[in-house]
Amino acid sequence: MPIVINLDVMLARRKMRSRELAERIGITEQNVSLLKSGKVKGVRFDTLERICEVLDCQPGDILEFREADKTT
Amino acid sequence: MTFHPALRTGHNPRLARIAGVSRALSWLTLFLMIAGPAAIAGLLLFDPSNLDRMLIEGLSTSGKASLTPVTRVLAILLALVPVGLVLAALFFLRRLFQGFARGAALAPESGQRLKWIGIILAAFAPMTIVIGTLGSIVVSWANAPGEREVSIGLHTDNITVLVFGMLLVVLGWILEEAAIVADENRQFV
Repeated sequence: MPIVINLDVMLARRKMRSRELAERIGITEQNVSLLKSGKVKGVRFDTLERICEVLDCQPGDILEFREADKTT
Repeated sequence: MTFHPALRTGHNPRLARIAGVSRALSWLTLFLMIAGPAAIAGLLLFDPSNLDRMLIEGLSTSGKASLTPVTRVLAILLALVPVGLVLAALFFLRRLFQGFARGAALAPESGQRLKWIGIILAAFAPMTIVIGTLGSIVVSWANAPGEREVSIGLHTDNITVLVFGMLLVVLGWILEEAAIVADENRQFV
């Protein structure tokens, strides 16, 4: 998928563990893990809002568009 | 935006209430599935003399009928068809409640079960008319010529059950669609 989730990068920058993020934004640690691995169909705006609030970042820091490799 | 931690963590009081009520209803349907046939069997065992009277009252409109061994068996078989349909509907109803009790309210199986209950109820209405007609022929078969009867009856109850059955079929379809949407929604965080 051309949308890449950089949540693990932001967590590393903020020196925060997935469990803490999950507790602070009110979703399960399993869902945070799924989000980190990009195995979700979508992110709700309110989830994104809380992630940005807790990690003090912008949505663009978490979501990134990368053109798919057309040669494959 | 409003944050509802209770909904997010999966603790939903409404779903818990649905599960509790469904658990109780699944036991009630099991009781009905056992009590119904047991009551019929008990009636046949302990009061067999009333069998003919019940069959004639149930299947004949004039009440002028006498049963031979063959017509008695045929009349019993005809009378058992609605019982079988009710038992089948109760079976699917119990499976539906069991699913709800497990928390699978929005599951494709729930929609399929509801659809089956609807199909059985929708079939029950025309089946009752056919059974009533056949029954009137069977119970009056041994009557003297000129006293045999054919009765075709349509009650408002038949139409109500038919409409209710069709409503359940459509609701079953809707539940299946809702299950697909819910599954997709679960993949959103």
